[in-house]
Amino acid sequence: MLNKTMSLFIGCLLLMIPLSMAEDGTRETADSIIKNVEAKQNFTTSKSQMSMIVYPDKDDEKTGRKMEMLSYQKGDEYSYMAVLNPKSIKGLCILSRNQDQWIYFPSTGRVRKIASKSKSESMGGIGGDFSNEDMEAGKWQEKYSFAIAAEQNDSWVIQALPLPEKQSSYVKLVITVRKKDYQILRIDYYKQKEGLCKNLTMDEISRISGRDVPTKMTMTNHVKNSKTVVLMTKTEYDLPIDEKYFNPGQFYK
Amino acid sequence: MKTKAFIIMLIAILLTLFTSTMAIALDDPSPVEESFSLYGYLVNYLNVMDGDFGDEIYLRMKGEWKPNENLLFHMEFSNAFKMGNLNPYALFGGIGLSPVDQNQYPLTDFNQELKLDHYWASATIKQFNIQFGKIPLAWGTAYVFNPTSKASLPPFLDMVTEETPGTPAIIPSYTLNEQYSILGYVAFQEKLAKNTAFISDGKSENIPYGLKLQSASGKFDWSVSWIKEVLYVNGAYQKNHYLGADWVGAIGNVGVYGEMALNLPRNAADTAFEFGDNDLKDLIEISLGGDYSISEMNLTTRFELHHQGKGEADILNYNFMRLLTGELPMLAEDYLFLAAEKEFSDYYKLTIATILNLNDGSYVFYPEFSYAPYLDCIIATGVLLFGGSQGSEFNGTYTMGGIGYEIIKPTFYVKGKLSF
Repeated sequence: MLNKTMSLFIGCLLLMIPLSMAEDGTRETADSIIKNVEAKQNFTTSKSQMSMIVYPDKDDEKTGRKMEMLSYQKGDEYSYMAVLNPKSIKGLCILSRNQDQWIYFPSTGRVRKIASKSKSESMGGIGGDFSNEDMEAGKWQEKYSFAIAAEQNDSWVIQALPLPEKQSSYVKLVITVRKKDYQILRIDYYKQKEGLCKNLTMDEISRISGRDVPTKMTMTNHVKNSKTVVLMTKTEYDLPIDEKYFNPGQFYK
Repeated sequence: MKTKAFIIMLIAILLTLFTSTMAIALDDPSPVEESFSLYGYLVNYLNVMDGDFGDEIYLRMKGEWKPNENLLFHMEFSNAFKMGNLNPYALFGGIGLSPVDQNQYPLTDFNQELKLDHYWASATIKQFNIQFGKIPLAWGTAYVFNPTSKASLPPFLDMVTEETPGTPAIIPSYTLNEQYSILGYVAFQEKLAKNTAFISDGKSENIPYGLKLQSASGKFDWSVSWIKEVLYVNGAYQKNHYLGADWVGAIGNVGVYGEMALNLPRNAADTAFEFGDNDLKDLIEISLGGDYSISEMNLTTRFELHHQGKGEADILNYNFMRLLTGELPMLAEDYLFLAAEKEFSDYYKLTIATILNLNDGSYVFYPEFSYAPYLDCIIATGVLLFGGSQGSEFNGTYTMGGIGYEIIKPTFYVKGKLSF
């Protein structure tokens, strides 16, 4: 899931019109930044074990509810996730392919397509403060127009506005990208009514399989006063993964 | 004869595929480490019905062993201790409807039941998968009523567990590509899971099976199926053939689904299909439903319309024995299910649901409030309210042979569930 989220962050950095200077002094355009970010984050497959801690009260660390998941991903559009903990939903699997989601419920032995996938709904019902739209990998570039809102010494601040013909639950995103390595550090999410409703921060960046990967992501929800922390405990990239995990007829077998 | 040939052919195909691909599978190194896990849950469900208490303590243990990512063994057993109005022997015995005289079985404990409900293995070999054992067979896209689920009785309005009962079966499936797959089952137990055993159970015409082609692509998933249902009722095998179909998708942000089973009647000698004077509305079972979530309000709403061709539209034709034997899950023809679920923070949830009998106007209404102090612990309380005119389905009194039996009454309950 984390990797997928990373991919979508990459996607939103397209089509920056203003020119900007990179750390090495060369002129940066939106296209060149995107190319660099994509080249840095690109992978064919990944396997991750992760923990997600949902804090109903973001200021109370004692209230955290921890889940553990195993995730497989192929490209930025196919992902499979299996719940390892809590035991009450152990064995529950979620397959996401582009906009479609299927959930396998082990207690009933039934697979259900999640049809009413509200953009702002919690991902798969268990994504805490991560919504379905937050997890829509590789799609933002088709939905947003981008501009550099500000430039600091070590980072760019990019504003993303939804294209008029595309549906989005947000009216604006503000993305902070570190110049030296094209690392996304923060995303602010704005809604019409609430203004700044959520922000995502990336921390504890580690080098994994030749990539700099944030191993801690925190989504803070200012409307619900909650937060969700995702911790990657084990990640591998570009390894062979059985196709069955990405097939709706087989992923739960 | 055709049925027998079909089953033999199916088994031959399975064995051929299984043995021919076994060598490939054994040579495949798996990147997944062997894993074993043991988990489950414990429920205490306490109710009060007309001044009488009932309590059920339900333990469900689950074990899973995965020697590699393509092989799986799964088992589940349960122990249910039932007291008072939750004990079926006590409940039905109290009104003179118990099928057994408990005094004649002094060594049998009628208070509790230990059941090895699921035990099955799964092997995936490339696009082919086979599952066998006592396994949950749950077909269909609908939420409450599943017309295409013909292998076992669903745990309808079971307030303690939602587990689908295991059916002894072989379930092969083959994935044609990313969109299409075919799957089937051959079950070795009729739908009502009778506890008597006869040589005739093994006759090919008495063996239930199903075959399905399913598609998962685009805005709507769909499937078409052929199902043979077998029920053992009143000392005879009742066999039904169905043409099934289901679909699920979305219109905007509204999830929509449908599921249908068309009963294809046979002639008296069971040698050919013959529609005769049958009315289509009496042959079809169909469920149409949808769900809509308003995430800003943490509210989920759901509805489902159900038509049961075998049911009765006229209250005078209700036959409660068809419910008791399991031949019918409900008495009437048409039902509407409505539900709304509202979450308050991550701890509290209010659920309000109702099932309306559209033929006689009776209803079940069940609001529930739940609190989850921990992810693995839920405490819930609610009521089951029934209403309707005299003789209606949910009025609470069922008449057989001119005698009225008061079976369902307003119920208040408290439930605790701990998963481990």
